Amino acid sequence: MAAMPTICYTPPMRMTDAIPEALDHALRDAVEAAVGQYGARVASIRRDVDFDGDECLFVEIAYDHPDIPVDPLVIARLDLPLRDLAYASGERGILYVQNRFRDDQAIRGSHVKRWLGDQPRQPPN
Amino acid sequence: MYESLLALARELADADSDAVQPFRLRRATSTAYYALFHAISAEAADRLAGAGAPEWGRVHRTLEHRQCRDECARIAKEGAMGSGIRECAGHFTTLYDARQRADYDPVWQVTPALASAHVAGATAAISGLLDSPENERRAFVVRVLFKTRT
Repeated sequence: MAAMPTICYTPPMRMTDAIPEALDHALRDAVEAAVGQYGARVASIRRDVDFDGDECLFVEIAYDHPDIPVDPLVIARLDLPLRDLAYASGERGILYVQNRFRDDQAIRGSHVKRWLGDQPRQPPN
Repeated sequence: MYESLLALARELADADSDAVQPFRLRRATSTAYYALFHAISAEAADRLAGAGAPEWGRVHRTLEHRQCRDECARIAKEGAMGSGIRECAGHFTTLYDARQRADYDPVWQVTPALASAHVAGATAAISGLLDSPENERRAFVVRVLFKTRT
């Protein structure tokens, strides 16, 4: 009788799974490199679900120096490399950054006020 | 339409503090998301129907929020498309979640810095989309509009 084929099965990640230590360190290092200049620190990394019930990884970042102006575009782009790190380490859920600012956080406005400069779309004639 | 929404989102995020500021900031985040959503819808209509075509509005109305988010998350995961499209997809994924919190989560905390980041993200996403090569823009809108069937 022929040997039974080997079935490879990778179980889905569960919310109770621990965050791999290597990923935890990589995310903290990436946050430090990207927004450490603003006095930001990783407050928590946890699994949870989003509004649609999909499993996600949430990285909570606290900004403790409201006197240092943050660049909104740098903050906005932070999700992207962290998400790449999570996917590269085998995470399947979407990573979201939760930025915690104080109300009096100073903001650098150069990017926010920038116009796109493209032409308006035309509706059908 | 999306340029006006983006301008409105900026105004809402930049307004001075007062009693209704928390609600204004929620609207800034939500409006930034809708600016991006309508920019992608317009791109789809331009690419698939053509500006001025009678079907333009029909294609524009076809984009679905969840389908777009799922496909954007897939694009970010694959890393296959160009940097502009990946930036657009990444920001859409982020803003999709932020918009739901802004509109539906009563305990969600929003600050001027966070709302400003959402507006900046929508702006960067739209720039990334419009600066991408035409073939990638077309491939992107086909992916976000149409589900893969097996």
